[in-house]
Amino acid sequence: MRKRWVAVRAALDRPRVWRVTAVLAALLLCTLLVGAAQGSIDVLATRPAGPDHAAPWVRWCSAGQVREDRTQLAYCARVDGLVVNSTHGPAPGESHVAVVGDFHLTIVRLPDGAHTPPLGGRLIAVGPLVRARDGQREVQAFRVLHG
Amino acid sequence: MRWLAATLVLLAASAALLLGIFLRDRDTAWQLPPRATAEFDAKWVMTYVAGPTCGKRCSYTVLANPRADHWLARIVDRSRTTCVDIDVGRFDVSSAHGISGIQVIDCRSLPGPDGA
Repeated sequence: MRKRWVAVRAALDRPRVWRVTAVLAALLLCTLLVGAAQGSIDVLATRPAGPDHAAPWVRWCSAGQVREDRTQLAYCARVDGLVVNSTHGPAPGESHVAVVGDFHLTIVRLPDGAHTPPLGGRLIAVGPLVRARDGQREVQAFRVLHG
Repeated sequence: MRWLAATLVLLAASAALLLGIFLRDRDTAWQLPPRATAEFDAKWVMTYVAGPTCGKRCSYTVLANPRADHWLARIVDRSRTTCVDIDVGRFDVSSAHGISGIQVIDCRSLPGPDGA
């Protein structure tokens, strides 16, 4: 048993290799931190009383019909982040993207026929916030402001 | 050995960050109402059977829920009708394996114009 332990220690005793892997792991962590920190998500729980004090993007919140087969979590949200995944279907022209911004993961259902931004691209979308089928938060994008 | 420890700590921190972001806003107890899930799955089956450009020539109807997690649906592609038993618990779509969790059944066993 002791012999095996000594052999394992000897095999792992490669300080130069582990120094390189530590630097790579530090770079990975920094990349993830920087990538996840950028962007933002603004959630508007209820419809604002008047347009005077609302942000300019709020006008797009009523530009469509909220889907009835989902639970609505908030009146509207504006998500700004990096695209990390995308799916298409089932209907033609229907696509969803997963967006990371401000350390939040949000699904965005793009307007039918909208261009799907590439992985790593920036997306800004506005629409009601609903609960997606898989339990994540989903913005039903009425308007794509960037991407 | 301290560099190995540093590597492991940094990798664990990266994994924890990703997991935290993934779980942060997720409602793990959330489930769609069963009928809404079946409707969604039936729409996928229709797209799979009839193709993505079928449009208004195709339709789907969820008809019955004979037992837990199983929904019977009729898919109409122009004049061709296909009936399926969708297991919403196992239903999945992937580019590698196509659609899983469905079984084609005899339309005559369904309520409606094709069946009793």
